[in-house]
Formats: sequence, structure tokens, C-alpha cells
Amino acid sequence: MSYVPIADQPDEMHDPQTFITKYIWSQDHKVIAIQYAGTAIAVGVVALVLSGLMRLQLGFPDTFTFIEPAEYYQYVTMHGMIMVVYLLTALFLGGFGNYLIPLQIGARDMVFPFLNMLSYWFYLLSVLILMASFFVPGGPTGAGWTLYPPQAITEGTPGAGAGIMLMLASLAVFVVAFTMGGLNYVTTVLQARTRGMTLMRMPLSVWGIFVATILGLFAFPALFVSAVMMSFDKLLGTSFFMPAMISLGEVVDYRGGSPILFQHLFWFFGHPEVYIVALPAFGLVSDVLSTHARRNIFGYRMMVWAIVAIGGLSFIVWAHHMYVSGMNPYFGFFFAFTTLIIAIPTAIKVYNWVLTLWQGNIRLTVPMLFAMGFIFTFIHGGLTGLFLGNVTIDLPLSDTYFVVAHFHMVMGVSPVMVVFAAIYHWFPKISGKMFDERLGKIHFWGTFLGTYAIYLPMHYLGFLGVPRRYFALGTTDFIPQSAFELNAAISVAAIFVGVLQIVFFINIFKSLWSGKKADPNPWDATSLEWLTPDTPPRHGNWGHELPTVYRWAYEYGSPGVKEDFVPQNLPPNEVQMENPGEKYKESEH
Amino acid sequence: MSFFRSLLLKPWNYEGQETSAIAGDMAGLGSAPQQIALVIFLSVVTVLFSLFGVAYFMRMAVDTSSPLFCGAGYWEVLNEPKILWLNTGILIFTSGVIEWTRREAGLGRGGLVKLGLVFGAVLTLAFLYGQSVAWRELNQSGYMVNSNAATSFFYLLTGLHALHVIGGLWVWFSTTATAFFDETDPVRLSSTIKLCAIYWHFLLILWVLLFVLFLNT
Repeated sequence: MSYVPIADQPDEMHDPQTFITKYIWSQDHKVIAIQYAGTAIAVGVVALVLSGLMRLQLGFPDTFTFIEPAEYYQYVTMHGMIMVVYLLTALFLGGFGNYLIPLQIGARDMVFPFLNMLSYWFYLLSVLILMASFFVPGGPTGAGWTLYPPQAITEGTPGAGAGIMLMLASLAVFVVAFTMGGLNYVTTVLQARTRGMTLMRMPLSVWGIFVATILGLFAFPALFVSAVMMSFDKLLGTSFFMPAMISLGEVVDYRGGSPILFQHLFWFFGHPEVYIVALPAFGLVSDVLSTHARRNIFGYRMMVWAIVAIGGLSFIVWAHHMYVSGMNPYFGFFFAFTTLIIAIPTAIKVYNWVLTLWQGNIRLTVPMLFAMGFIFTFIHGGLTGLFLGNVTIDLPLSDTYFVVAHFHMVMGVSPVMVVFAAIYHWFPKISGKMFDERLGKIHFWGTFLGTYAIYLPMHYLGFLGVPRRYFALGTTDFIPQSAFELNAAISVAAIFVGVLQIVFFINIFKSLWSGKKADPNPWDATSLEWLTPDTPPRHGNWGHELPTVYRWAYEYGSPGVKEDFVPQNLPPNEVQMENPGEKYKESEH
Repeated sequence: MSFFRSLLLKPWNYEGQETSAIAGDMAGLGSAPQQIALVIFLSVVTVLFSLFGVAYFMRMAVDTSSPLFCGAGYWEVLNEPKILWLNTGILIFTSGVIEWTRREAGLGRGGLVKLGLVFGAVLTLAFLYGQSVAWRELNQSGYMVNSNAATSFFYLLTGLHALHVIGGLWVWFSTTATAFFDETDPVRLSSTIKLCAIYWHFLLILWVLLFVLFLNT
């Protein structure tokens, strides 16, 4: 059965003609990718502003009187949920997944372009529902991003009326959107690879996105289940999660429900979610590092296996988020064990990235700087994960700023470093323009050093026992005055980093407007997306004939070859040698 | 080549794989992408209902003696409406009819296919009607969705199952419309019916599992 994504098309291509079919109701994966990324970044800016407001309150309590405790909790909740689900998941899979999968495997588009379009519009709908909760009576939910019952839907919690319902509805719609997109990504990778593109010749970006999508397909149903059951509790008065209790002096009309059940369901989604964000980041950063270090990726097969292993393991570690829920100590032992095992494939990946750089011909471009910044922040956040994975260390540190520092380092800053690395790396292909190198470097150093200034001191606050989630610390015996000063300093750094992101947007818009025209392959990369006939690629990506792939995506610095890279689609007999008499032979590294 | 065996390939080692890889891997898994997508989708639905199943057991196991739960889990054993047996029979019969339609479509017998399409739709609607009768019976005997946890789960799970059936019917109706008014591509029609058949069999197995779950708890 032949169909568009894997077929040569000798006839003239039928490009969409009108503005609406080309840019609004588009079925072109590249346009959908930009729609996804644009929406995700826009909603991410909202979450960034919310974090700035939180830091204003934490750094300078009693100064900004417009921030009430209820609003503070709403900022916390919306910041967390937007960043994790609506920004990172959507940007990595909907944005980069959509853009890179067909281009890197040599397909014309996703196998179900219409479903792909639908996926974006459902995602947009979920974002609009979520944003609507800012404007309903009571405001958005302030239950914390984990939305734990009973307090999430109990009177007295900020946004316990319309806010939480809109949040649950938005999540359910998001899951539907993700499932439509995810079916597409997985089927496309399995079915639409071009001639010669075996699974083990795929760039690691595709591997990361592919496995993360499978994780998402199996993890998001847990979120859906918990959202549906909690909506039932709220709207229909069932008692799935709601125990009998007295709230604000009155006996509520619930009985027998289990809040712990919600925690299990939520974290069965919540932990794989970490890797839904991390695996695409691992993949993208591998490609950026290899390209700019001019070295083949070290241990390609191990990198693939590690991605698959991490994906599998991520489903059996969820309860390490629940050590303090009063669970059986033997469960704690089991989950600590599985959690620490994940460190092995993850460490393999880190060693391989570092070894890729070893004796490489490193070009310190902006994407490379961000990729190397990722290695730092990820090692940092990963190591503190080893602390928290142990039950005995987690118990005192849980609910302190140490946890905040850990997860922001590992799944906040690190993926964002990769997001920027990837945007700068693929921007010339996406837009056809070069970005401003100088502004990019300012953006990198400010963000990299700035985020360290934010999160490094937070570990110390955590050791002091400063609790997270508190609106104000008040006066206690164990929190010294210096902690307040540290908090103020962190806030200054946070606001600096937040404002600095303007440099990034200026760079993007300035480059789109008046940037230098980009070379089709400005980084001398080998993978297929750089070898399209047009830059940016046109509808259908490849002209009349699909590319044929002869090798893996990491053929850098092969001995005897004139250039230091061999593109994936260059036939072996056309490879230029340093010594014209010599014949090119694919070599073992 | 199996997925796991291909993971062992060394992509940088070209001895003997250059030509075979170029010719061999393009067909992917050898099925239509729609069918692969359907199988993936059904595994997602399986995970969804398994999680509901886990939640069902965990909620049922809420320790009634624990002070945490104020003495009671409020789980009353549900007396399932008898009509569910009839509905199960109808659904089994529907699956049979749809399987028969799939075979006829494969053989290219257009008239019988149309008959099967209409008959399958009528039976599926009958199943949905039967489920709504079961709901009404429960309602009339005073078991509302919030009466106790067992009835909550009953309404929730049967409702979700019915929604999946309705989703399938939507595709079934459009296939029927294609068969009657736009019969240009019998191969395409037959592959759509094949996908529907897989979906209906899946929903039947799912329903039987749910029914067994309800009956035994």
C-alpha cells in the first residue's frame, strides 16, 4: 500500500494555495509544529510571569500587598501545571516532534495529516480553557499542580469552584489532543521512514521523541482517569477520592473515598511525565552536541538502549513521590530501588555526551553553549535526585526548598536549556534566516549563570528546613535572618533571568525581520532535515523524489574524507576524498 | 526484522548491510498505517480501562475499619440489572455480524456488505438502548451515581464504554454512507470495515471483562 508520506511523487505537488489552508487550518507538519511551539511558548511566558510574581512575594514579603495568599497559591498551581504540561510536553512533542520526525526520517509529512491538525486545535482549546480559569469567579485553582484531593475540590481552597473544573476539563482535552498527536508520531516513525532509514540509523532526536510519545500514550490515561473521577466527585457528588470529613465546621457530603488512590493515579502519570519531557531533550541535545563537536555520538546503540530502558523503568518508580504519604516501608524500599536503578542508564547517557566532546573539534556556537549548559544543569539536578530517591533522606527534605531546587534543575532548567539549544540549532532551517550570534551568547550566559544563582542557594535553604509552598515564612526559631536575605537575592536573580528572556524574543523577531539569509546546512550537519532542496522546506519536504539513506546520522570526521562530515543521503561513490585516488570506504569508528 | 533485533544493529558497521538495509526496511511493519494506529489506540484504551480497574479494586479495598476513613468505605454490593445479560448477548451477536460483514467485504460482495452494515448498526444501537434501560432500572430502584462507590463505578465505566461504542458508530455510519452513496473504492471500504471489526471485537472483550468485574464484586 503506497501513500503520500513514503511515496515518490513524480507529478506536480498540490500545495495549499490560500492563506487559511496554508497557515491556519494547515495540515503541513511544519506549520503545525510552529503553531504548537508558538502556543506553548506564549503560555509559557504567562507561567514565567507567574513565577516572577511568586518570587516577588517570597523575596520581599509584606511589600507587594496586591499578592494575597490565595493568589499566591493560584500562581504556584498554574505555574507548575503550565510549565510541565502545556509548555514542555507540547513544545517537545507537538513542536519539535512535529517538525523533526518527518524531516529526519525522510517522510513527506505525518501519516495522518488531518489528525495532526486536529491535535493542534484540541491543544489550543485546552490552553484556552485553562486560560479562561483566570477570568472566572474565584479565579484559577490554587490546589498545587498535583491537585490533591480532598483540598482541591473543597470549599476554602482558592478556585475550588469553577477554577478546578476548568483545570480538569482542560487536562482531559489536552490528553485527547496528545493522543491524536501521539498516534501520529509513533505510526509515522514505524511506517514512513524513507529508503535505507533503518531504526538504528535514525537520529537520536527521533528516538527520544518516539519513546517519549509511547510513554505519553500510556501515562496520560492515568491523568485522564484521575481528572474524570475527580470531576465526578465535584459535580455528581460521588466519593471516589473524597473521604468523610468536616470542612469549615460542617460535615461534607462525602464518605469513604481514598485520597491516596488519587495520588497513585496522579503519579502514575506524573513520573513518566518527567521522562516525557526529558527523553526528547536527551535526543535533541545528543544531535546538537555531536554536530557542533564534529564527533560521532559516543555509544549510539547504548544511547538508544538507555532511552528505551529509561522509558520502561519510568513506569515503576511513581511512588517515590509519595514517601511521606504514610505508605508501607517495604513499598518505599521497592520504589527507592527502582528509582536508583534509573540512575544507571541516565549516567551512561551523561558519560556518552561528555565522551562525545572528548577530543572533538568543538565549535562554541550558541546552540552548543546551551547544550553544554544542559550537561551541567542536568548532572546537578540528577545528583540531587539520588539524594531524594532514598526514603531516609527524602523524609526530612521533602516539602523543603531542596525539592524545589532539585526538580527545577532537572526538569525545569535542563529541558529549557535544550529547548533553546534546539531552537537556535534549527532556527536557520525553520526560518531560512540566521540569528544574531552576539545576542544569543548574551542570552546564554545570562540564563545559565542566572539560573545557578536562583537554584544553587535553594538547596541550602532546603537543608535549613525552609518549607516550600508557604506564602510567608513568618518568625520561627530555625529559619535565620540570612535565609530571608538569601530569598531576596534569589528573587533578584529570578527576575533578572525572567526579564533577560526578552533578548531571546528580540533575537528571534529581529532575525526573522532582517537576519542574514541562512545557508541550507549552516552547521555542516549530516541528518536529512539539513539536506532538503529548499530552505525552509516546502510542502512535501523533498521535491519529487524521496532521499535515500546510506548511513547513520553521525558520520563526522571520517578518516581520509575531504570534508569532516558525510551527509546521510550522499551515495558512497560520490564522497570526495582528500586524496583523489583513494576510494571511500565506510569505516568502523 | 523484529523491533528488538534491529536494536542490535551497529549502524556504523556497514559490512553486508548496505544493500539489504536499503531495500528491506522501507515497508515498516507491513500493515496499513491505519491498522497500526488503531492497534496503538486500542492499547491506550486498554491502559485507560486497566487504570479504572485498578482504581476500582483499590477503592473497594478501602479499609472499613481504619480510622482514616471514618469507619466505612461505603461500598454496597450492586445488584446488576438482569437486562445486562441480554445486552451482552446482543453485543456478541453484533460482533459476529460485523465479522461476517468484514468477510463479505473482503470477497467484494457489495449487496451483502450493505446488509451487514445496516444490521450491525441496528444491533449496536439496540445494545446502547439496552444499556440505557439498565441505567434507568438502577435509577428507579434508587441507586444514583452518588449512592455508593459501587454504583458510581458502574455508571462511570458503563458510560465510558458506551462513549467508545458511540465513537465507533460514528465511523460505522460514515462507512455505511460511503457504501451506499459513494461506492468508488471497494478496497478502501473493505479495509475500513476491517478496522471497525477489530474495534468492535475489542469493545466486546472489554465489555465482557467489565461485566465479569461487576458480577464478581
